[in-house]
Amino acid sequence: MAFTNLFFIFGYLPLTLIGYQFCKNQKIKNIFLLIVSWLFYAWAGLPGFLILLITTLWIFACGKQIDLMDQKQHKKKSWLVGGSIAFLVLILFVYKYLNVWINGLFGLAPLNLIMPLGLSFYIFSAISYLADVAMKKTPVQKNFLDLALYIAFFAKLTMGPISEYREFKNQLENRKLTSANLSQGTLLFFKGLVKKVIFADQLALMFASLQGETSVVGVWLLSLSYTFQLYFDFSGYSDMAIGIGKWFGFEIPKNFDHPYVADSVQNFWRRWHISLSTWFRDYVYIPLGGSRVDKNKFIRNILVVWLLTGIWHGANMTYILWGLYYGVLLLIERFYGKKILERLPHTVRIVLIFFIANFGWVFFFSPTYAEAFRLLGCMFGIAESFVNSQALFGLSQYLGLLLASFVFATPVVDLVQDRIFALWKQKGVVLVSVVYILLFVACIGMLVSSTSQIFLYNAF
Amino acid sequence: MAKSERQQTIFNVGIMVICVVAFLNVLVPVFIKKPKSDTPFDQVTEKTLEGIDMTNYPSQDIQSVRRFFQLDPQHFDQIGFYRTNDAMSADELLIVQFSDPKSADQFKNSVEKRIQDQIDVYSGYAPEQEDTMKKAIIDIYQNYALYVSGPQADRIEQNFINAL
Repeated sequence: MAFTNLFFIFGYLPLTLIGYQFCKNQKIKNIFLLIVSWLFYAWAGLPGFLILLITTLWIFACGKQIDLMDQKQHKKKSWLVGGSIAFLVLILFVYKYLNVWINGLFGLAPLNLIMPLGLSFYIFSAISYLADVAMKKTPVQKNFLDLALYIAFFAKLTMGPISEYREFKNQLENRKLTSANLSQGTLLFFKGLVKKVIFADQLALMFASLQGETSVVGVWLLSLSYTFQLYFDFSGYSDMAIGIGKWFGFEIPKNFDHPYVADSVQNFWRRWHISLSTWFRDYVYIPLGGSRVDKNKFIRNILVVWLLTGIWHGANMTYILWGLYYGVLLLIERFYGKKILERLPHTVRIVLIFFIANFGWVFFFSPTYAEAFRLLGCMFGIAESFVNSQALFGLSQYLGLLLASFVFATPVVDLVQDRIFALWKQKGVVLVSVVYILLFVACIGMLVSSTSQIFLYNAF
Repeated sequence: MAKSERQQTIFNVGIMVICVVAFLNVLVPVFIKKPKSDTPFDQVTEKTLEGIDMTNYPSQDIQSVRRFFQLDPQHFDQIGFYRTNDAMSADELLIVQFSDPKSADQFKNSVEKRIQDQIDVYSGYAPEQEDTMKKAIIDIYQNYALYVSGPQADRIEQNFINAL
């Protein structure tokens, strides 16, 4: 059940909110949320739900056993921690990578393995729990139902944000629903829906119309449409997830912070899919030594993190290339690029980083790396033509959407909104509310007319 | 180790074992199930019938599957049915493509019933045809299925497997 499903918006969500209000205490609220989250997930199919249950039981048992082992059993404990995480990685490997790699490497027929929804996201949440318990960053969770809620909370289950357990834990036991939460949650939910339905879904149509492009302009339009589609799709989903979380008193961390106004590659990754880069920083980069090691080990650490980041997104070579692309860029920026960047005007830096991201996404959407390089070649003039009729048609149909995407990907909307609130106070709130309600109605209209597309990050 | 710690360890390890067993239970059927094929139906049919004497396998109308097998053609993406109108001929060939796993079950049940019905019809007075039906082959994959009876059944089945 996607967040843009009409039954979800008008059925599941309101019923869940109403039912939640009738729960007397925190314990019952958690049980209620867990049941509705499990129902939400089981809707997609029982085999996937079984894997979710197995994962939850596994980390519950392993976490308790890790906690039971004292310091004298250091070696056994290390084996247990390693083994318990390895089992989770095995589940992810089997469903996400096995088919592609056995088919690609050995030419064997693919198996009928359908990856459970959100597997990449909740496996990482599960690993976060085990790692936090093992490193004694948080006490073990002895209440199975609370741990299950951390993994299965429907707002963040299928596409993140990946919440680290130690941040989520306190909210399981102690959270309050305030009128501020409700209003902020509603605003975020509407904003996310607008990003998804009005921007991402229309950009998806633009992207589809430009498939097979061979002209310079056409390929640029193709890459730009994907660049914005991916941003609005994923950040829209994240806004909706965070908004829903607020409705139940949860503070889910921000996952996007206008990444296309970043002024360096490092800054871009502090703004794009923040929860994933934070996870890799906390559970891979820092345990490897981070930047507090000699130069060679630092380079190794960066490349390992970015190789894994690429692999997390998918088994295709294109994702691995994309990950290493950023690994190499970050190293170049660290050792040579910082001084050069600092000399450039801020706007130029933003434009430069935007194009770096844009080129990176070409690897993302290309089925093979050969196709990715062909497209990049087109973008730099190695093309059949400068422009063709398909590209001109795309430009005439979607130029307005593209320009609007440039604007709305920046913080300008938030700045205008804040200014309205500051200047007009109550009237400003009413005005903004009316605008969002109208946009919400427009979104529903578009959903009803079935111009909606699936969320892109569902594939990861 | 204190008694309560031992009990907790047994409990925890027990759950871990259950998880591993449950995961294997979910996974193993995937490995023993026949895979899915991306080959288009026309290509599968063409390769299946390559080198086969089609005298006893003229093509039939898709709606005939309703008459012979009580199968609803709507439940299948593509159907190829081949047999003569001669009731004394036991040579039959049915190739189907489907998306819904339930269609595979329907195919299997209907074809098995057809085979048994034909054996019952031929029993006692047409031993050759009865024997042909007893040697009939059913082969079901994730999205394709084959039923074939006749002297060329083995070769047709091999062609089908290669075609997928």
